[in-house]
Amino acid sequence: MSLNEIIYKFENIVGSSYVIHATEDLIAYEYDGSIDRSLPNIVVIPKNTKQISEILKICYTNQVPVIARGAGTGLSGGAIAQNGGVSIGFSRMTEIIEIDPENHLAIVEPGVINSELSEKVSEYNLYYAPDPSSQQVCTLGGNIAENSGGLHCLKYGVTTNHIIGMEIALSNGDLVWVGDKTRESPGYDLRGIVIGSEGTLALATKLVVRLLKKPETVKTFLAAFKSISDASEVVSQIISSGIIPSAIEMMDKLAISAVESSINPGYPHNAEAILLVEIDGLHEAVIEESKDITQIFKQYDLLELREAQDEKERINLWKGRKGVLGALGHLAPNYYLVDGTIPRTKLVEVLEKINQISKKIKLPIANVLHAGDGNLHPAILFNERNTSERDKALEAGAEILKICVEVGGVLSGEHGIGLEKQEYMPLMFNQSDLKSMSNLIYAFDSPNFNPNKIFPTGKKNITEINQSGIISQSGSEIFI
Amino acid sequence: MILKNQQYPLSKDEKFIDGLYSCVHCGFCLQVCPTYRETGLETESPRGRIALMKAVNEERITASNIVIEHWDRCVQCRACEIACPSGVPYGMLIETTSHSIENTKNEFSLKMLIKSFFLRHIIPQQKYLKLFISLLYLLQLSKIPKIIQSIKFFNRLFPTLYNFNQMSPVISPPSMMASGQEFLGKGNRKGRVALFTGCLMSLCHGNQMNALVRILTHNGYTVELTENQVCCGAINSHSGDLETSKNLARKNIDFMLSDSINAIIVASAGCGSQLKDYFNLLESDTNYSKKADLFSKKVKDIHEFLVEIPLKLPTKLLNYNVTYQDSCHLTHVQKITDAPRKILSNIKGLNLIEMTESKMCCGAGGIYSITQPELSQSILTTKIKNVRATGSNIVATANPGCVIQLQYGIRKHDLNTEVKYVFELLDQAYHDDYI
Amino acid sequence: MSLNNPQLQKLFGKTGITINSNSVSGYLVDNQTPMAIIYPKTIQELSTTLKIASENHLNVVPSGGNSRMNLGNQINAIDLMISMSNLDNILNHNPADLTVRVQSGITIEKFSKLLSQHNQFVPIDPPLPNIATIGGTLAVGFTGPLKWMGGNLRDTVIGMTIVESDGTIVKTGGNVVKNVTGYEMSKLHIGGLGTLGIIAEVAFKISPLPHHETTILIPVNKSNDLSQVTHDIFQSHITPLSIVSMDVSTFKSLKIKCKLDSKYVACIRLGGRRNEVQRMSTEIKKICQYVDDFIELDKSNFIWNKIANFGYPVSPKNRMIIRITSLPSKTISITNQIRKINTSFSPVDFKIISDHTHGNSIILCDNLTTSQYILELIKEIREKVHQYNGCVILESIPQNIKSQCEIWDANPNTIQLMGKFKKTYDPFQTLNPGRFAGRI
Repeated sequence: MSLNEIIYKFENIVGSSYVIHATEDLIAYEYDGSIDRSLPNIVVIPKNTKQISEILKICYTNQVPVIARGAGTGLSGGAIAQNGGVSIGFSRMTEIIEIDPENHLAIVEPGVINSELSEKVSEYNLYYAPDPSSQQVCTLGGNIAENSGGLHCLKYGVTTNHIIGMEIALSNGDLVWVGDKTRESPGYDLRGIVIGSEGTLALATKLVVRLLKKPETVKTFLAAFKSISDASEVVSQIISSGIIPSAIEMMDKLAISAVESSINPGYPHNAEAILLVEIDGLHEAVIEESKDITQIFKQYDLLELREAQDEKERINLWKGRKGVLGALGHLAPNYYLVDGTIPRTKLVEVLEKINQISKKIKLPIANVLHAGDGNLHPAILFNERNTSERDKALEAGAEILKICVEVGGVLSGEHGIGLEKQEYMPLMFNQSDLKSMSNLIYAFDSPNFNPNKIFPTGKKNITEINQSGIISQSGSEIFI
Repeated sequence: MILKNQQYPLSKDEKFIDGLYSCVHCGFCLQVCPTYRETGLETESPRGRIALMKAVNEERITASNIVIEHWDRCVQCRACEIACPSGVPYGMLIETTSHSIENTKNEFSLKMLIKSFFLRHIIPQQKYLKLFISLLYLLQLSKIPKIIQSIKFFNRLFPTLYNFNQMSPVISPPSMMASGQEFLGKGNRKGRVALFTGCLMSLCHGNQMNALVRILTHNGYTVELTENQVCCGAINSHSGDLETSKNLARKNIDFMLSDSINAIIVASAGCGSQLKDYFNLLESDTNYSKKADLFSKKVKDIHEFLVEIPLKLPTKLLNYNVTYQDSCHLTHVQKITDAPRKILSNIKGLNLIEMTESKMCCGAGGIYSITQPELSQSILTTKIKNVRATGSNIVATANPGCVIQLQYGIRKHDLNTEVKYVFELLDQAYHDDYI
Repeated sequence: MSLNNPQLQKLFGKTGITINSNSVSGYLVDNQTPMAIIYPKTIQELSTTLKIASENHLNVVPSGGNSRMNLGNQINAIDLMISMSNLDNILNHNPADLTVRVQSGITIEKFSKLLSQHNQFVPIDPPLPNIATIGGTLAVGFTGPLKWMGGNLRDTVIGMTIVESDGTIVKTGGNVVKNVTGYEMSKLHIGGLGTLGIIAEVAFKISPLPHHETTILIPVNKSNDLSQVTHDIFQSHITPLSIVSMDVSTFKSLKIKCKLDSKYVACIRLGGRRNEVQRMSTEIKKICQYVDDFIELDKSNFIWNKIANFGYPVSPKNRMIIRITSLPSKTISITNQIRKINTSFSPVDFKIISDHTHGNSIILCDNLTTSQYILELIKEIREKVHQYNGCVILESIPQNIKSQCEIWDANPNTIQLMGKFKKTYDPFQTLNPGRFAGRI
């Protein structure tokens, strides 16, 4: 079937306004939140499951690549059509089909925006827990593809813990339910397999999401430290004391100074590191836990310990954290943001190694991390126009990821592998591991779904991948 | 489609280029963009429009009619600027783009007619505009519009005329003409202000303008209606006609800037944004840049001003359920959201019910409702749905464009709700306090 | 394929792997006896065993503690049983990281003991924790009432080492709590009943033990009141660890030394800081104003152990355990409907425990007689449950009816897709052939 025939068929399915094929229009679909760019041949934006099914049938028969696209906020190139093909947009599948407050769940279409769901169910005192930093725009379908986390996943878990069932469309257009409204469903947990598979196995078309009761009380602390190792130790201390805060975030001196010079949330200037710790739950529990946490803090020589007195102050404390990467623009024109997870107890060791790397390459590295779950986001600051700086930054990024794996950590905590890190996969997995994973593509018969991602191609060496993949320009807060 | 004009790059201006590349396409702007929300199309989003600007500037594509149409469909509500974590100056980008492509479209259309004739010749000349509005008023008095509306087939026969008839503003005479009048402040005099009357607002909503004078004088300010002031030029700026808007700016500066006034008060959010931006518009005009800076600093939105002075509390009880629509240019450009709410909360008996997405544009966008009727109306329909859901008797807002658009939406969707300026309600509540 | 003992000895001869073919008679699976049992001591041995088995088309049953071996459809054939009981080491427990990695043959009891020394736990409460293993429990895929606050089994696993049917050793996930590197292969094996591979090592994220625990027993006499109580507590802003209910005869059968005069009882497990638990207890009493004789037990683990053990150990002759999953709001309606079956089919001895947070009910039927009668009973139960969109798993049924009914309620579409997984990961039907949903 020729391209034009496919376009014609798609137009019959969804109407011509929602089949995009002029080059000028496709340009608006060649990117996502990462730096990669590539034009799809067609973008089609279906309104319902039936249309998706019909579109997929055509793609399957013609073995055309299918790339699902939520809001296009991903950071690892998941929505990039690097080999062309059909990009299926979910921006019109935004219905909240059912809210079942009795059973704490909702059924929604995949184009529903993460934060919008929480807003819609808040009248029942419920909310949807995973809160990636892009939650104001990202779609739940996209969250499923990447198994997104968020600031509060330390206590409440990531996407896979909150999706209990899905209707999925297979590559041949068949619709199948995996999981359902009940919390245990018979057979293999294909739900769990599809979540986090970056659009390579199946497309979610309806989601059953679990909702949580809103916590009664929330408390937020700011602690400022004289050394980054003290701050790291406190993280381990809190966790091992039997308290699971809803969030523990850390920022180092460089990150603090960037924030203070632009957003000015009132973090102490002279601190080497700060921690933001949030606890929530029943009032009584929060009171006791905050006493214990204060005790832990007091064992250290703190510059300051502040507890947010009201909601306004709490929001202000978080404002600095949320705006930090945008603020890095004040220090350098570009940054390369690394995403990796390490065991929490290795924080001191790894941060020291990152510090050494920074000294070695003579480029500043700002550390912003979800310290509570060991998820690092070192931002290597450089100037893209200086090619030697750029190369050094890229090498340093690779080195940091290697260190993460060496200390028992992983390549990605929340951004996904996609195009960005596919060549790094052998650092963690051997041939058999990768083969077993890729067998899923055969089981799902989905070689045309988001092809040539996640798995190493061997074609590009690591530096090349870096250059096309992971440089971000400064000035954005969202990559966290 | 035949590409008639191949024009690139859009601009070589460094500020423009820096602005373009400060976008890291994170997508944070999507959900606040009214046209993206209505269409679900990336091409109708700020990120998409910037991508197209980049592509044209990089000479990957030409500024074809397809591309231009996407830019034209921007309401210019600027909500994306607030959502952007990277501080992309979207307003500047889209205005520069509009300016650069302004003369490239050869097709003849109503849109072009409006742009070239209405914007260049009617708006800058208050007397022509007054004539136009007076004719419109007479027409409304004649009941012809009502007859037209009642003819079922008219809609199909002359859809444009029918729409225009439906959309035209409700005119509330007498119009206010600024001819140097002065109204003395009551009680303890606090100072002197100049009231910016603008074009459309003073002509269509003269009654409301008089309320402004009452409010300001009641609060102890002497109000002058400076003679010879002209339209602010916002609509020209938005559609790319920067030359006309600069000329208008110079005139306003010449006539209004004076040491004797504490502030230039403006009640239209769109005009306010433009007046506050004169320093930017005339930055490279050596004769005017300093004066423009002084001028912009003196400009105060009425809500901003009243909350700062702070206003005298009104005594009359107004038992209304009111919902507030944030006017785009007040919210996203002037970043004023608390002040109007504070004023409303100072009115006894008034119950403010927040609507869903009060900060989302209503689809008015200057002449957008005329140039992009379909999108404008679907944005409006969503807005009316949200207004309806509050069950309010009044929807208050802060900009004449929004008032006219909401009135139209309410007529069209048969809602039993009145549209009022925030200050109109304040004026009503002051009723017993005026001496 | 069937082999005789010398042939088997020959196959494994050079590997050094010990084959135990003497006392196999105690290891019946669906009335079939394996020819031999192999107790691998290392993952390498496990891998070699499976490699040899698949190359020779032998059928293998993986085994943990054999506590729930009765679960599953009638197996097609058995040659070998692989017992994981020698692979029971703790590989890496890092209390400060809240992570632990163990070999899968470790018993739940041993595992819990280790963690509790550090005031930690993993919310896994299967029946018979003294013999049930981590691997076996994960393969079965469901546990007791702790899962509500702690999360399903699948929510606690962060990494795994699996030996696939052809002996390939595969690693998935990692030892950190937040990880999106590659597909989450472990999900295939949790609840996979060892049909796609054998779980060899598991990494968990662990939780701190609640400082303090209390159980509140709420006696009520009317089914409506029971429904109201459990509903109101579930909807309130307090967060109990578990909410279960049962009728008094079921309660008595658990042999909990505690006098109850009511018809039903709701058991609420509370955990947390002492003040927090106290507050929750007060709130519960407020919610249930019409109840006056609450029983509050500080040392209450024994109750929950008994609830977890409900129905076990199984005696597959005349006892049946049926597990029902539904929406939490439907559990009481479903159990009421099922109790009604009881009256038309006398004499069936129904005992039911319902979990109102997760929406499970476990039905225990004793004193069963003819197979015709049992099959009809199952059919009736399925009908009632399906009316409420619930689903049924026959956790343990008499052997003689296994060939005549399907254990799981899975829809044909899904079964078809699952069949593809079996084909991909176990092309020679080496592992537990025919035992899984849809007789995969």
